[in-house]
Amino acid sequence: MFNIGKTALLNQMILQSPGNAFFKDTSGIYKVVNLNYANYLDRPLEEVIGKTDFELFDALTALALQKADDLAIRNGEEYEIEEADLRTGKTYLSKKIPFYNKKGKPIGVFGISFDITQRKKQEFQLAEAKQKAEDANQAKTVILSSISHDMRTPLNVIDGAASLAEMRVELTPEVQECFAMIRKAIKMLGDMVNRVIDSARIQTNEFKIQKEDICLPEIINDVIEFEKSLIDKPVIINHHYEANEYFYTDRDCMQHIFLNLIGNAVKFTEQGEVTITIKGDEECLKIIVQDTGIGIPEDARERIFEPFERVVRTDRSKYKGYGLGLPTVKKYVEALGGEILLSSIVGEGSTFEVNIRA
Amino acid sequence: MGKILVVEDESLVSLVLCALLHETGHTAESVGTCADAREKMHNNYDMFILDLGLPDGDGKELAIEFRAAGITKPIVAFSGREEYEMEKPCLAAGMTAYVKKGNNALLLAKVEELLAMHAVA
Repeated sequence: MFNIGKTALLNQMILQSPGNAFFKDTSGIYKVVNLNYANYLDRPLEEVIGKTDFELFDALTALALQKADDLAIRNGEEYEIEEADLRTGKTYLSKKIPFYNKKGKPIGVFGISFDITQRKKQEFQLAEAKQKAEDANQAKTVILSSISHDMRTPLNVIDGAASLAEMRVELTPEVQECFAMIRKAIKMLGDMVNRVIDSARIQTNEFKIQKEDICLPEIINDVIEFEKSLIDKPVIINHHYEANEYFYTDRDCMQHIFLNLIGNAVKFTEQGEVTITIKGDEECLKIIVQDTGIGIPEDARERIFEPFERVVRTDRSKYKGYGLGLPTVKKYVEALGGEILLSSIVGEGSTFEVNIRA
Repeated sequence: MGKILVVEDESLVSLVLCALLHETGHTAESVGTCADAREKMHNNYDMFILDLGLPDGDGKELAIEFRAAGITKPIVAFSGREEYEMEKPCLAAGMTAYVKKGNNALLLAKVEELLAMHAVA
């Protein structure tokens, strides 16, 4: 609260203020206004002094202004409000500060307003742009998913035609070699389609967790066999199973967690080993996937869990992929209420650790 | 050895599938629309293989019609859509099994399994 003894100071503050500033008495009569405010009202200074809002504005605006002043005086508190000026279409951020004399009796209101039209417009545009970007991203995910679904049809034809040819053609070693290549390509393509659909599904949160007792060694062995069939470099996969055979969790989630973590480990390891260790009891499960690969630099360790981000963003020639694997794993792990940890030494390898509860 | 009707609008898919069925000892015919499938449904087929997205309707709805018309033979859904989203609705519509497109060997195995089961039953 201010004291009337400081009138001169207040006058100077009003006159020098960069916004629209004024002081009104308790009857709503303008006692002091600055040039900005007079300009805003499109009147000379001396025409504003001594008048009330009802003489300067339309009735509706005047009533609103009076109400705001009353509120400040009645509550005895500073008070900030965003006001829309219907006449000019502008938005103002206004502050009302009540003034009292030494006995505590109200003597008026000091007000200051800033034109924040531009800022409001920018805020609106920003929100709009953000919404548009989110919509576009969602649309992209949906399209990606539809394309992938549609790719299954030609994939099915290739697979079927290959089977047919295998039945009808004499399988010399040369021909067998060709079929092996076709089979491998079908497998790769099918795997790609599955990964994209899977990621789209999880990024659009279109999935439900369905827990049941699942046989973990079975899932892990399937994934390891699948990955082994794709390896074409001196990398071996080891695994140590030190947990209960059955664990109460979601089968789909587990499959994808293993598939992505082991697949990544193999992909980024030129030679050496990928070691999978499973520990735990019926309550907790710890999955450790360790490789002797290229490693992940520190500045990329958070980023790679975001969709479409990769350690090396530009060069896709050496390590194929879209940057969907780890974000998918993270979403699944989070959906199961677990956590994923990463440690890595560039040039020596990476270790991913997943901890989940039943 | 069975007589199978394939309802699939993508001609390459049905061409390959029918050839595979022939090659594995079955008789197969194909149609590309629900309307043609309705006309042929009472021609003593041992099994139906239905795509889900057909130009004049939905394979799932067609299966409901087939069941309502008294057909008790196996109806297999064969689609590019995901099991987790389509398998349950298909089974609820009276279909016997759901096989995802991309692997014909799985479909052929399912055909043998269902024909054997049905022959016993």
